[in-house]
Amino acid sequence: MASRKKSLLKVIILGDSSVGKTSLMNQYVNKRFSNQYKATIGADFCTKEVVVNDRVVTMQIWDTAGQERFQSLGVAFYRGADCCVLVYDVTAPNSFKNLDSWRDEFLIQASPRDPEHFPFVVLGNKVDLDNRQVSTRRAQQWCQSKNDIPYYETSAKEGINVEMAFQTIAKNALEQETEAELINDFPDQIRLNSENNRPGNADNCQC
Amino acid sequence: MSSWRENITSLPSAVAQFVNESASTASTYLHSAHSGSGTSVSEESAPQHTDFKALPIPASLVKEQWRLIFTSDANIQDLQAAIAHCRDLVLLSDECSEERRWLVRHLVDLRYSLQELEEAQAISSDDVVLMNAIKSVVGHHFVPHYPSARNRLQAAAKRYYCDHCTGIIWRVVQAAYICSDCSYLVHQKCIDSVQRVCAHVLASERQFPVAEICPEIGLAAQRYKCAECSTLLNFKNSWIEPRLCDYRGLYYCPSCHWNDSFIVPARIVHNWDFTPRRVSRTGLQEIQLFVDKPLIRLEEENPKLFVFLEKLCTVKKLRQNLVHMRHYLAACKVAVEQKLVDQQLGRRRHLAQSNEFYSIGDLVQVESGVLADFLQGVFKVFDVHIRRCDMCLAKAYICEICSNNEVIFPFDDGCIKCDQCNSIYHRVCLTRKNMICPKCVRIQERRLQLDRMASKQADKEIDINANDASDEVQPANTT
Repeated sequence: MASRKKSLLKVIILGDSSVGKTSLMNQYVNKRFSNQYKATIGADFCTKEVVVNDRVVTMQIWDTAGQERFQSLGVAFYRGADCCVLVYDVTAPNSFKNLDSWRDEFLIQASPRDPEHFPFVVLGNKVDLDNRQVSTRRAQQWCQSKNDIPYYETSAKEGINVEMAFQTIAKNALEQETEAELINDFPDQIRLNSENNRPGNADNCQC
Repeated sequence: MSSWRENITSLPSAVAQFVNESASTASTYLHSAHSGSGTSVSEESAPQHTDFKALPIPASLVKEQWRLIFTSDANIQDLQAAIAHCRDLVLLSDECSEERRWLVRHLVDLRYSLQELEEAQAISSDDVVLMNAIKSVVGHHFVPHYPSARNRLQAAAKRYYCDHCTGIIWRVVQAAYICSDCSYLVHQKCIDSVQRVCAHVLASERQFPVAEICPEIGLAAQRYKCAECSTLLNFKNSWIEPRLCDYRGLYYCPSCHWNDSFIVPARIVHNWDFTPRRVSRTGLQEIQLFVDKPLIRLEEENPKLFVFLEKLCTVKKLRQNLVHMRHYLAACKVAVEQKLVDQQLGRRRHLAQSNEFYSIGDLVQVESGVLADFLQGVFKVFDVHIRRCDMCLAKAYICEICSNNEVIFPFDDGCIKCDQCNSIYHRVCLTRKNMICPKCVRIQERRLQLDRMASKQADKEIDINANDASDEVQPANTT
């Protein structure tokens, strides 16, 4: 069973500009933080090996540009994502309001098989700052209304909760992947042999 | 260099005479006996002010000229004082006035001269270096001109003429200077009396090539004088006949207008006319400086051209595609590392920066078809990279209307871009949706929702305020 599971998890980080997407990724992957703001151009990814449920998987974390929706490049890389991380800045109410549109756009562009149960994780970043504007309760309410999305409050600067959040992300991504496999994946050998042997077309007879 | 210049002076007088004679016969080749008088006129008339002379000091500044203008034998202290004085005058002068423009040009010249002198002093022991230093006169930066070693043989056959006195430059015995900015070529003996302001200075002040077709004002308005050297013009004598510059629309004397033929930018832009016209020397030098500069917003200036000319449309479409591709290549580490854009476009990078600006050179190539071929080649190279590169593919689009897994790019043929939100769809798919972009609809809905929420909140606040107010009012009523 374990042998035919793919060991690459694709995780996409979304959110408004300057909420700390790149910083979160850097803190998690490289354990580094820089105070300097540098806007991400286009999109880029980092990989990290993690152990989830006694399995070693490679996490491919896609860091995106915050101005994504308004820039001139596409988002074909959303396709095949295993988990989507929505990040907002607890000191910027607008970045919280925009989570809705980030989620919608992601679901449309990625068009997962089961949009209702696609694993999202919400991170409220920058909790180390004093001027907090979005309350935990408000964020939790929103997460509950969207099918109980797991919610974490993090600080990329201090490294608070980052490790734990990404552990959850990996776990949820893996679960999604297992479910998908149960429904859709045939063993690799067969898929290599013939394209016609599509999953789920058992009653799709040739005649 | 210094040694053979000394040799000239020590030449036997007979030879010197021969050289002088041949120089004057050469000048008659262009216009008889004018060169000599031209020089003397220029020296005398330098302080005079006329409307059409580009160089002379403005009338209001004539009383300051003894503190500002120096010949090449000025020393460092003189120049420093002049620079300080000139700077003060610039600050005192009115903005955008003729005086200020003259002063700024002059200040630049003075600073250059100062730098030359200082550099020369630093290595004063070496005369050769001093000779090689750049000389700056009315905006020109003159460097010694030698025929390049490679075409020395051809150079011997080719004749060079002095842009100032129009006399031939006898390469073997006469030293010559060339302006490194505008290619103004001049005898060493003429260098201090050069009048024509460097075309590079004019071009950078003008910023764009003259936009009107031959904006002629007529000889009377020019007071029958050459627009450059103020020589009186008339039709009786062929050596002072007025010659019209098709680029500037002004009349020049034969020593400032050599009947050179060149394409004229305004005629291309308005008439798509590439026939060479006769232009003055200064006009020619100016156009040549503009040739490679992407300054012309062709579609804004002449939108009809894009309707009439198919090749122009092809080029426009190709450039638009390259602009889209450049976004991909600029965001791709591999392409940046390979310097793909630089390699393909080099100095013509503007072609992929936007599809608005054209240089004169581009337009000539549009007409000949060379540009379309060139862009097609670049397109192919970029296309190969983008379709093979994983990172570029990751940034492709997926048509959300049909939502199949085929990736599409803004530069693909069957695709259409929403101008508002930059999303890309199959043209067929969007047509099916009556050309209404679904993403824009969503954005609109979300905005409405936010507005509604905001207005609700505002209503609540008003209610609360109203309640507060009524609370306050009530006791007032009861009393």
